[in-house]
Amino acid sequence: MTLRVLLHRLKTEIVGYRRPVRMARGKPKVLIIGHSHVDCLAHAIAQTGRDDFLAINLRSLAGVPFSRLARRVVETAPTRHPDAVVVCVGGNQHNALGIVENPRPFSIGDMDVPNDHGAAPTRTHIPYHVMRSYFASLLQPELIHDLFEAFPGARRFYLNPPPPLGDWSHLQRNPGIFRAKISLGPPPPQLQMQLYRVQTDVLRGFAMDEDAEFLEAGPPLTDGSGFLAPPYYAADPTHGNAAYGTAMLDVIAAGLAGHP
Amino acid sequence: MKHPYVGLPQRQFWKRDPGLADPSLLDPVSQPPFRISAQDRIVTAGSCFAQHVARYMTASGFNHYVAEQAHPIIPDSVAAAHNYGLFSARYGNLYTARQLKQLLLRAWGEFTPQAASWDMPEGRGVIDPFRPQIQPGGFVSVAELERDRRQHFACVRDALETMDVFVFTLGLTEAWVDRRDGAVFPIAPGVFGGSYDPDTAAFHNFDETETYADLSDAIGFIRHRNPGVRIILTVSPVALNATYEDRHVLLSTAWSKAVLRLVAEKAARTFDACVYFPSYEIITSPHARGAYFADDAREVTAAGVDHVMRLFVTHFADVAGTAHTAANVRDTGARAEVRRHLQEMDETMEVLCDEAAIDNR
Repeated sequence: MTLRVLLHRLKTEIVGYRRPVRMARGKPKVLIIGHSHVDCLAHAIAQTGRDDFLAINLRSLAGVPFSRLARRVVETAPTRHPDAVVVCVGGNQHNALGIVENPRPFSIGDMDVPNDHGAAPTRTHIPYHVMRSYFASLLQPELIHDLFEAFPGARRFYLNPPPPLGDWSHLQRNPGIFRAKISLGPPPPQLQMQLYRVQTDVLRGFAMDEDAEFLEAGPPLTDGSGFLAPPYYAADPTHGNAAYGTAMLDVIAAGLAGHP
Repeated sequence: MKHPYVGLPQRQFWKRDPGLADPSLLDPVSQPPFRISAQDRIVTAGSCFAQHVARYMTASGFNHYVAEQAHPIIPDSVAAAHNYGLFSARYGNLYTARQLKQLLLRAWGEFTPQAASWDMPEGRGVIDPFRPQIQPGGFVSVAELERDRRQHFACVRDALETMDVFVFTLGLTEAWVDRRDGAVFPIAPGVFGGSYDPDTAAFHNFDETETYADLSDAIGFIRHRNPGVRIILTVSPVALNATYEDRHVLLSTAWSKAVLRLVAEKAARTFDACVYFPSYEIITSPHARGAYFADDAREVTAAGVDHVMRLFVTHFADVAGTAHTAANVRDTGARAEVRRHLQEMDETMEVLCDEAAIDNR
């Protein structure tokens, strides 16, 4: 365990620091539950005063055993009978793999691309289904299931995390804790999108398993290549900002307006 | 009274074998002409029984060289589920000597079969006709399959050019052949992907002449590129699952094993530094009284594999221990570096994601 992670755990688990659950003033109709990618929605809720939404970052429940997380959410939430539950668990796995070049560059199988990303064919090829199995092992279908099951009767939505930021200069300007990794250089943009697509495919499958509608960002939140559009960048290299959160609240609202 | 058998070793007399009283003491292995050190790179290939051999090699301190490894970001459990490490490269089961020969030709670009891909059974994606079960879920496209195949062939070349010891297990004589160019498939088209078309796929049962010619060609091909390689031949004791010959499968099994056993013996007598290891006899011996076969009378039990590999170690290993070659140590170091990077990235994401709520705009 690195010193950084130890400090993080001290902050969240031992000292007892808890970031407060972002409470809306009224009784929310929609619970948005997940990890860091719900924070931009929480900011948007706070900024817009849309008290029919409530965002719960599971990290505010640090220290709760994994198997009890869903139950604790129920205990924490101001309502046990929301109209809808929107789950957005994890979601930065694609960035962990592809925000910077890997020390041993790799490529992923795709529908129609032999795919060495234009470079010398020295990249280790990873078949699509191998990468998909890897993502399936990283993501948390049990937690997703538990969260949906915790609110019986609520409509189910799964919110895809934002796509990657395709602007390497943004990371260079905001390296933060990635400073030590910048020297590895940028990965091929196509690879970044492939990683995101594989992750999305896995999450979409989990959502289908739970009879949840899958919600994701599209234009104008994304650019022509599918990357997050610059106006929606947070001040770090992986998250959307409050404007993105506001737009995604609209996506959720539109989903709610659709037929159940 | 003098006769030619006087003074011969005990092992040459059936009734003197200690395995009659205690099957675990059966040891039909003759003194091999070479030994295997912990540093020697061993490459494995062959039928499904060869998977046991490969697993044991990996677990027992031999340097089972796996040239085709998953990228280090892929966890070992996921890699194993996708058949990395099953053999030295992801060629799957090579049942016939013709398959081995054609793999070599294909890997060195001397043969390109017309059957480039088969459709998946459910019609989603494609599979490799020459290793149809190697990639669970199949390949998403022909392009992906071709990319993976190029990498696979590079690993096959690396494995065979740099190995010190080649362990090949002969498994079958029956095969399905593409009438157009003679390409041999490991399983019949239509069994797992593709579709059976009698106009293009034909059954063929390779006899002892054909099988020896193929094995001889394969050994010659390998030795041309790796003159010093030592070769160990074995015959799988696993019976045929099915025969296409119009006769009982037991008869086809006996015929097939007889051909393979004969061919292995002939090759061992013909080629230098080429030896036959009697895994077939150890498992099927009357001494074991069938105990080395599972309830289906076909699969080999763990006790049988243990017996085979115990004798393999006894007769071939010249150094105990788990040392690895310097090359593999370097490779392990490279893999460790990637995994360390991934762990750091995961930890960074953990911290970042916790701070995101604080820093978000």
